[in-house]
Amino acid sequence: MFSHIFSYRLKTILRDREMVFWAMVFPLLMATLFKIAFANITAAGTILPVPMAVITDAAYHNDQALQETLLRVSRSDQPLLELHPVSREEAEALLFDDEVAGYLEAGRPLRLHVASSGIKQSILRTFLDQYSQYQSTAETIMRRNPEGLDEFISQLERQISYTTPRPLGRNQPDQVLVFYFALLAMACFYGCYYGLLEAKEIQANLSYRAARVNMSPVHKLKAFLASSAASLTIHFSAQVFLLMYLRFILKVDFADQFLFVLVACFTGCVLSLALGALIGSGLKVSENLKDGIATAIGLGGSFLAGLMYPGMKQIVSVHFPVVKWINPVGILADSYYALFFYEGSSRYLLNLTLLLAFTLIFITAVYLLIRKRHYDSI
Amino acid sequence: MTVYKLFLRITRNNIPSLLLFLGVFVGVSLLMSTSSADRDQMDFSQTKIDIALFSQESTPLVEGLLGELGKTARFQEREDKEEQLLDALFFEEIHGILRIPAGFTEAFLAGQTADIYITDGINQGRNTYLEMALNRYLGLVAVYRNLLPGEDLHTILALVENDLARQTEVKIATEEENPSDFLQSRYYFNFLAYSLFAILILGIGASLLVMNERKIRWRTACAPVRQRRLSLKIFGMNFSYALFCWAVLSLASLLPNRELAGSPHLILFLVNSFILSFWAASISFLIAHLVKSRNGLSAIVNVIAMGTSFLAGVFVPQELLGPGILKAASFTPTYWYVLANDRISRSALGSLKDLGPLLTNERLYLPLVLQLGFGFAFLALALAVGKRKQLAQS
Repeated sequence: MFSHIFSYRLKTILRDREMVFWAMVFPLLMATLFKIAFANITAAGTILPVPMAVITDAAYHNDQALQETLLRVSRSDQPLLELHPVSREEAEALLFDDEVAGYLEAGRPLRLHVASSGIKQSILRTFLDQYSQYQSTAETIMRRNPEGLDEFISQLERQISYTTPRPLGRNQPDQVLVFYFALLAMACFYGCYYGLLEAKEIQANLSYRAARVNMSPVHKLKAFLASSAASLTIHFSAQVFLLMYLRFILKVDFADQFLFVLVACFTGCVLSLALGALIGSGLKVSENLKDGIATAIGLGGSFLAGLMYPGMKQIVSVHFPVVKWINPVGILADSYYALFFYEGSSRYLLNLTLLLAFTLIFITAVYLLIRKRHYDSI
Repeated sequence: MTVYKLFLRITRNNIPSLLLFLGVFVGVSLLMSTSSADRDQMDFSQTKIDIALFSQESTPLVEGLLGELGKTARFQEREDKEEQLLDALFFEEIHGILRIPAGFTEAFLAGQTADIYITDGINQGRNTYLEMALNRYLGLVAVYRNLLPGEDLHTILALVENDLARQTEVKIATEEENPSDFLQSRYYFNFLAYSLFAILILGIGASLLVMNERKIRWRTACAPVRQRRLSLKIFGMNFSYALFCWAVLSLASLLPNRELAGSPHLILFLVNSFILSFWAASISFLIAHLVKSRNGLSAIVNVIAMGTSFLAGVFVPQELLGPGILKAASFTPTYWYVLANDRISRSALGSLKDLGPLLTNERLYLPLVLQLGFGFAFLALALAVGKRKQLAQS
């Protein structure tokens, strides 16, 4: 009987092509989009050279050092600046038309005019601050030891670093992975909708099909498990396909822990299904609202896990530490990240245990809710 | 009127879920705009980063260095246990670790290789400024010691401090208004492109799925009303729902930033987001005609609302996206919405009188007009699809 219900349920779900298609396609599309968008962010120097205008007034013409420096940094192999030497009016027009990130006015101090704050403007400011500071050093050396100026310039060009990186953990942390792992977790929690469906299809007051199933001489729990197993099969297969796509096509680094990733993914699928079933069987509200709650949990949870803004992980951890232990989407995303980041597996196992604990609680609650429910003859 | 009553009945049934979505999206938008975690990359008022410091020395050189680094970092005292530090890095409670080993000052002053150890956190970019400041400070000390051999360390450190106090004067076009206020509002209104769009697809989708049910369609089709008129009526009602959501989300924009209330910038942000609610309603109307069941709706929200938001610079700033992506994004209305918001936030607006010249400026009205164009195009498409569906059924 189990295999009979299982196979028929499988066919029923696969007939809802729209749900299966979108559930599979949306994470694939999103992951591809991430890859395209982040390829540029991680590539070095995408934002460089920064376009900057400089007003060619008397102060600029008199400042030989500034002219040479600006020319050097705009004509190197990897130029920092795209320099536009222009008049004040032209500089203002360029800034207004967004053609440059800012324009420079020579003098003491240097004046940088920008239209707003931003990354490019910050780069300009850092560079000009550094220039002013080195200029101050050069002046001191000129006063106290004029012969040392050449040595100062050559020392500047040597760019000595006084820091040594000391990595901690298995891999160098990577912010882009936060997006991918949150997406994976979100896709996994799409299983809530399958859970909702399963709850609907086992309670005779919610659907005609459930009424038919309840009439059959089969234990309700058995019918529910067989039917849920079919949902789980389809949902987990879609997740494995997504993982394969990420690993082999988009080359997302899972730190050679693919088997553990699969285990976490499977646990997440069971948990999301159980959560959906709990919402479906526990709440006496409209189907619309149940759908809404599932959507809110998926979207809200993945937002808190850093899907739309990776800095959210920090905000949650610092300001709402409880949330990081009760947001199942975040826990699942963190378990993927733990595999990548931690040398040992204790953090991963802790997260997995939490997921399993949630699953157990939800399944028990669902069982208690749907067992021995009888329907009057009307 | 009959159609309107039907719409109201459907909406009334959907009120709890719509309120739930509104609540979630208002919360998410507020959290997104008030969080300042990544502002240090975006803003001139650089937010300090949190660094776990383990210094095994307390010499004048190290103290001077830490004083300089204190301008960009907030040092935290933590237990030197690897697991706890990993946890702090993992949850981004700290952005990096700085270790100054014993004997550093002696080795540095003797001209030997002396290194400070840096461990990067999840966002490596944040430590770049810190690393630059560290190398600049020590580099200057080394230069002075080399070129002014007669000076003692205290004099050299004072010279370095004097050099590093020099800064470029930055003039921001909107400086009379505090630009950071509008930066925060820009984040909020940019995020609206996702939240409002998502809530409209979900809400309009849910109500239209009912309206498109075969029996209800048959009933409305036999009424003596032209199909186009009926479709426009339904769109009008959906648009009124869109306006309600827009009003709630716009009002919420004042919560994190009350100063915005009296500012002319608010009017422009509202105009832009009003146009957003029009095209988002049009696209949602089209999607609702194409979707057959409610099951696919939330996945479509993710693809359409979240996908376009990523592409067009709602979550990741436009200046970080490559020119190719921006070119592709310019075929979506979201791109023009974000662009208009960016331009509004950086406009110099002293009073309401300045609004006129700005609204007639091509740089601002072009993105607004293009969004309207997208809105009408999608509306026309939705009406055509609705008509085709009607013909197919009859």
